[in-house]
Amino acid sequence: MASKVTGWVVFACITALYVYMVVAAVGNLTQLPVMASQLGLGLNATGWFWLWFGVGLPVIGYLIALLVGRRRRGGSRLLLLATGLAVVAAVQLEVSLVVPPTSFFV
Amino acid sequence: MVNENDRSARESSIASGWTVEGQPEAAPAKVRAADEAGDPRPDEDGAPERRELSSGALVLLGLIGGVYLLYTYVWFSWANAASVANAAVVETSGSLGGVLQQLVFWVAPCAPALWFVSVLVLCRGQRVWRMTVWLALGLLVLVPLPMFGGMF
Repeated sequence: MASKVTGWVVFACITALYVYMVVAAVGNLTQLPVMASQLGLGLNATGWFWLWFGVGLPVIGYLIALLVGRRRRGGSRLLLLATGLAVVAAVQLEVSLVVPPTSFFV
Repeated sequence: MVNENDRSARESSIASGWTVEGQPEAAPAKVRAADEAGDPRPDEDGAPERRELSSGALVLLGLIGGVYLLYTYVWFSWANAASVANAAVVETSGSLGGVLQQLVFWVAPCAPALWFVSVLVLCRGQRVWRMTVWLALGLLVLVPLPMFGGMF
């Protein structure tokens, strides 16, 4: 019973981090164009692509982790979700470092 | 009757045809069937007879693991840089988001280690080439591209 509760708590924590990533990405998606227009700039296709990429990546990572682990026991499933989270975080960090934000604007 | 017996599975047909004398035999047959059905389950759960890795596979695992370790170090340094840069921003607007963002930054360096452990756990008792394919995929996905920042 205790291990079940712990498992669900860990699951909730990992899911919360996924949700945070989506929320933050949606924040970027909605706020960055506003800021750009205030500066008299517009977003180009590259900018829109990377903004939507940020929203979609955590969702896709979460779904893949669930899909791969759908026939596994609880521990393996949690491990997969954690791995997915770490990979998504790494790719996001990668994008933020490799793609210069100045290339987003027209 | 004969046709019916042929159509149905042989074991059960014998058992049903020989209702009186065959019953003692039917019980062990059931046990055997249960055993056969029961065996694959622990295999899938990952606690089968232990199949030892060949020395070649061990060397391969060690090599790939070394590359993963290298990846971890590089990701760690990048996460450190990102979190320091982000901390400067967060100081002006202290919030839950800042804490979560820091968490996400520090989860990133765990990606190679988690991937490696996941592959080892999930491919336990399976063929070595499957494990190798998954590990190679991890090497591709987790390449720390910022390391080659000068090329972009």
